[in-house]
Amino acid sequence: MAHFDTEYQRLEASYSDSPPGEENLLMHVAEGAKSQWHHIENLDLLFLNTCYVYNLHQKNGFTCMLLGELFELVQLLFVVCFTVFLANCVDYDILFANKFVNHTDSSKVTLPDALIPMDVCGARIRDNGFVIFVLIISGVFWLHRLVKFLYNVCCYWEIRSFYKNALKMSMSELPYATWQEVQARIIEIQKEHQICIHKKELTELDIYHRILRFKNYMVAMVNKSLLPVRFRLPVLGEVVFFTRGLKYNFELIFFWGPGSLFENEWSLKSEYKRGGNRLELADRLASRILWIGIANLLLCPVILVWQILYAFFSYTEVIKREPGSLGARCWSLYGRCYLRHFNELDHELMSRLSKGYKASSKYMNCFLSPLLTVVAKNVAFFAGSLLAVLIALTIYDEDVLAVEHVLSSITLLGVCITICRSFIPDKHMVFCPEQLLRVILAHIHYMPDHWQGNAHRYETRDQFSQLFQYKAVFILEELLSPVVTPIILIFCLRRKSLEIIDFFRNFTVEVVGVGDTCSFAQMDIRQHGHPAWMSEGKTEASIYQQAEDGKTELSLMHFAITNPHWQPPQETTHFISQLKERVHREAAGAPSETHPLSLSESEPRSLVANLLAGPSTLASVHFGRDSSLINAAAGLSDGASALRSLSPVSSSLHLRGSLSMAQRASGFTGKAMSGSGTDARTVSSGSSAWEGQLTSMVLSEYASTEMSIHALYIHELHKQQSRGELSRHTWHRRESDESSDSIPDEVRSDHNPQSKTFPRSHTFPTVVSSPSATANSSKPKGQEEDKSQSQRRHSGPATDHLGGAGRPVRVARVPMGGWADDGQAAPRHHEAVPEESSEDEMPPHIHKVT
Amino acid sequence: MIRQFFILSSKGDPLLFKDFRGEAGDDVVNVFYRRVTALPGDQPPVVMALRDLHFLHVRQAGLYWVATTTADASPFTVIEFLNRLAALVKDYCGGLSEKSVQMNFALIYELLDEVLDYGYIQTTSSDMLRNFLQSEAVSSRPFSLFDLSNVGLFGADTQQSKVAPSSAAARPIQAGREQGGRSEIFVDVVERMSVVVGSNGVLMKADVEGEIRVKCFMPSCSEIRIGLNEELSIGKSQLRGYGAAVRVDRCSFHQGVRLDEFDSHRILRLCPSQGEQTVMQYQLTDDLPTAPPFRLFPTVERDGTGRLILFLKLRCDLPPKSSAVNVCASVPVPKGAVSLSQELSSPDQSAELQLQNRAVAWQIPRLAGGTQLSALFKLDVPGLSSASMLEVGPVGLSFELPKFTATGLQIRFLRLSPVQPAPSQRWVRYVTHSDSYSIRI
Repeated sequence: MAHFDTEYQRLEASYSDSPPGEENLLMHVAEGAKSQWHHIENLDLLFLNTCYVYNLHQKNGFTCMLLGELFELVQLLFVVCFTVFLANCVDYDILFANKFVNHTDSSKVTLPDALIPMDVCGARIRDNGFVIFVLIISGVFWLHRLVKFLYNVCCYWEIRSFYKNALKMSMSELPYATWQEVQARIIEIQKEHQICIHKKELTELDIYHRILRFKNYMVAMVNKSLLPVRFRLPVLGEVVFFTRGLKYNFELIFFWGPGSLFENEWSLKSEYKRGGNRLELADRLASRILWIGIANLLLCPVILVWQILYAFFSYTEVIKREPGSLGARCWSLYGRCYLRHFNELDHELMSRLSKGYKASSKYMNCFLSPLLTVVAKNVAFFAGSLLAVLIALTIYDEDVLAVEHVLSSITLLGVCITICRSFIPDKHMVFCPEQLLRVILAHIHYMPDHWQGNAHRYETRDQFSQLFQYKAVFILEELLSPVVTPIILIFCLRRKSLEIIDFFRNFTVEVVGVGDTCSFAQMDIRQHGHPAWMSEGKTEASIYQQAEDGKTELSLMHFAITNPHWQPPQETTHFISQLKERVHREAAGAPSETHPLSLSESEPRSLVANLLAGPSTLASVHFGRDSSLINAAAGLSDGASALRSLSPVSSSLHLRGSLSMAQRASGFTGKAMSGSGTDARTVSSGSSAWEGQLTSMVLSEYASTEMSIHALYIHELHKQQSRGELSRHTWHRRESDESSDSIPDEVRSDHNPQSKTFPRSHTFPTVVSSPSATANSSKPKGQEEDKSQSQRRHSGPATDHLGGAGRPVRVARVPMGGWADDGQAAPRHHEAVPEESSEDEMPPHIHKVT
Repeated sequence: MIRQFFILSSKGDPLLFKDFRGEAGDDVVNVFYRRVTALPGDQPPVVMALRDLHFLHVRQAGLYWVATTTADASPFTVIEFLNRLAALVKDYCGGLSEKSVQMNFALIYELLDEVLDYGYIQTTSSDMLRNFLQSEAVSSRPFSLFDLSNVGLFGADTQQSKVAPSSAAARPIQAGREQGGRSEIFVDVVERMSVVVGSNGVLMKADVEGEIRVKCFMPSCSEIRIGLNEELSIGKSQLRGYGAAVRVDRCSFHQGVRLDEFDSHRILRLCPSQGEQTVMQYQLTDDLPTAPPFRLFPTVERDGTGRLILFLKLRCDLPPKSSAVNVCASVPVPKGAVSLSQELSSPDQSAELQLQNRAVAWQIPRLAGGTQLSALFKLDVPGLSSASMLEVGPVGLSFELPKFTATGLQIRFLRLSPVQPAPSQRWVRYVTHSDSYSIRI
């Protein structure tokens, strides 16, 4: 053999002398700068807890976090003690003056009078078994929280020193640093100190993956409609039930509870990665779900009491202060999952949804039922007149207040009027749902296909209200949750155990330096792209692997835009640049002509105004620059007409321009100004903005606007694209792999009268299961297939609300090619999911060499 | 059954001759050498027959290792035996060269006595043989300054503790006390690249063959565990994330390697015997994870005076920290080229016209990553025609890339068990060298 001049390097002996068999994660990396970090192992563990780094940042530093958690503990203690106190130690008879206190000097009742003496009170508590029980339970709970708190403090203390020493950020400046900055520093520090020892360089994606590992799984599971959160109830129709308690239980089952699917925070248990004994694993999961469900059932009274108390203490004050808040809305938990991109951090989601809040509530307000309005108007009138009289009397003589229940009726009437008022539409409101919906879409980025063009329908509103629910409903659901959660767990989730096992096996990838993550979160167009969402031809995903609603594509865009420094892999870069180029081209083409994206007609100015109003401080800049652009392009001098012809594309084009300009800092300023020198406003506002500090905040505002435009564009294109082949796609989600050859169905579905009633598309997930579905799925496979086939024939694209004769026939949700029922479906399932055969138990390609 | 065994130097001098059956012909050695050299070309056939006597030979380290046999022996057995014997000699003598064979002839005779008995093969296991061999190897270590730096004045941390010269591994397994007899283990990760780059710069073929060799000088070592990159994936099937995985297409292992932890943690476990063995071999076909290390931008012209002008720009695309050593580019030139004038960019490079190969060899001792070198050659070719212009190229490159593996495979750790009492030394070396790297012009 040849002779080499290469020298041998010493293999560092640091960890190699540990006894064999003991697997520590600390491996030596052959090359790389050594540093003064002596505790590489700690750092890497710490790095595995990137979530903590993120949390500490989100909680504005160590002190805030500490205080917050401490107060939470105290609050808990207070709630319990105060409730017990109220229930046992207050003599309500005295308080309500049903019983007289024999005070000698005055007739005034003082607060101490109403209190039962300590010893009596203590005896009462001791005698009451239920109170003792509640106290014990809450004590255990509190201790658990305390231990967790102490543990967290230790963790966060380490993270704090990490911030201080490694990232060189003091806690005081943390609240004012954006996450992007922190992230940039982490990436930088990795280059120097190799804090993640498995990998030379970290990317933004790695960090996001570490933070959002479980959330990505949840998003993907909601996206693939795996979690039983939608139900069809007899009276209420389709409802979504997804509460914090339910979510907690899901996480407990999948991610971190005892015996969960995950071994530790970053890796799935290895047996779940193999396909061999999936049935057995599914059985095990099912029994685990059953046990957790039963535990939930047993603990139900305690949790219920807790929920009620908690709701009472946290909301009563708010309701009293502003009763309208009950009529206010909030994004539901399900909505948050449905609308969340893969790899989107909490604060990003929050800001996005908050931006969409105004438009959304406006949209919802469009749909006040006329009947209710009439009733509300009259109720308000009567209540108002009563109230007016009472108030007038009080003003005349305040002794009226002393009359029993006058004060309370005044309060009640006030509340009543406020509630009624929320049902009376604003006189000056314009009914323009389609437009509003588009504005909403610009912020929330996801929307089922069938909403567009149907924005004025009540069904759309109902479905939107699943994402954007009343606060009151939210509270109610939370209160109901302890009762409903065990039922869902036991009866709905358990049936899905096999699907869940398959999901985790098929969609988990191991990324070096990150651990096991959801493969959807890789945002790989090739593997999870949906052909109807711009990745036609690029995706190799089977239907089972495609993310719905263009989630992969939109997430990718979102991630690429929020992290401009991220370098995606090649195909992905290609996709992004192609998309950007398309947007660019459309804009450069004929903005005033009717190109696919000419929203200018359907969207007069509200969209643009809204888009621009997003970054409010910069609105003027945009405005000025917009008009200057139009000036140059179309030769229009009038500002108003410029606005009218301004399509989002052109604004995007130029937003991008401004974004890149912003990145290039102010070097460009001169040119930009000379170009728009005719417009005085531009000069003034422009210069102030450009010469002012271009913080990353500004950039992120631009990014979000740019993302909005891209989201709109992608949706628009998707609409265009799917219009041609609507029926084909409609079927994708229902029967996954048979759909490609089901042309007759498409034809039939066209004359289906139902499809006219309300075209619902597949993209909005529908009811997951029902009793009849259970029946279906338990039938032998052939029959079941038959059924679903026939079902498909006569139900058209509409899900089926009128399905069979009276009986709601629903497809048994066989989204994964029908292998959800049992092993019989295996051959079919093979094409959809490349199943790992038993080969994978052996190391691949072993040949013996002598 | 082997009749005779002998080792010839490249010039035909017999270094060692042993006749096992006592039926030696007149001069088999000379007959063999005449037949070998009589044949044209570089590679004479491995098996040659002369009447009823068969010569089988292998060439190792420039030496002919020849065995003669009658028709009854399996040629493959004999060839395998010869290779194995060469490896044994290498292990026991510390290196394989004409000189070391000459110096250690006693040891080799002793070895042959144990390995072959009356022409029948007994054992080639180095662990067994160790018990029977008494003589110690004589090694000729050239004096070098490097040894002096080992002294470590005032307990200073010398360079020696970080790196060891490549010759460090070339030591006999049964070293005498005076040679230190340190317990050391050397791991070589050697990769060979065969690359064909088209004239337009497109990569047409890129294969990497690699192997992990372990050279163990540890008397008391029962098991070692070698950890490879955790992200190593084999074949194309495995679904991986974006994290640039280290991928190989095929791999095969030494039969003593236990693979129970390979699947989960990429750990090879083996009980090494003394000396050198190839633990793992792997291949990567047509899909280099990185760009090929060299790019060449050639310009071939003919000037008015009938001279051929070659302007070569060689760019090294390695990462800036690594570099290539012993780079040699050989450019085939038209027949009849007589003289060469050259313009090189630095004095340490050299170029010469090798008339017998009809090629210009351009030697570059060291080429750092990310740099670019250029050279201008003017060749006097009498009667240069446009047809002979076509004889130029393709350019073949030979090089050595220290501390670099084309696949990215690395040794994560090396653990010994039982834990060695004395501080044992573990060394690793990554080399990528060229098998054939040709760039078409």
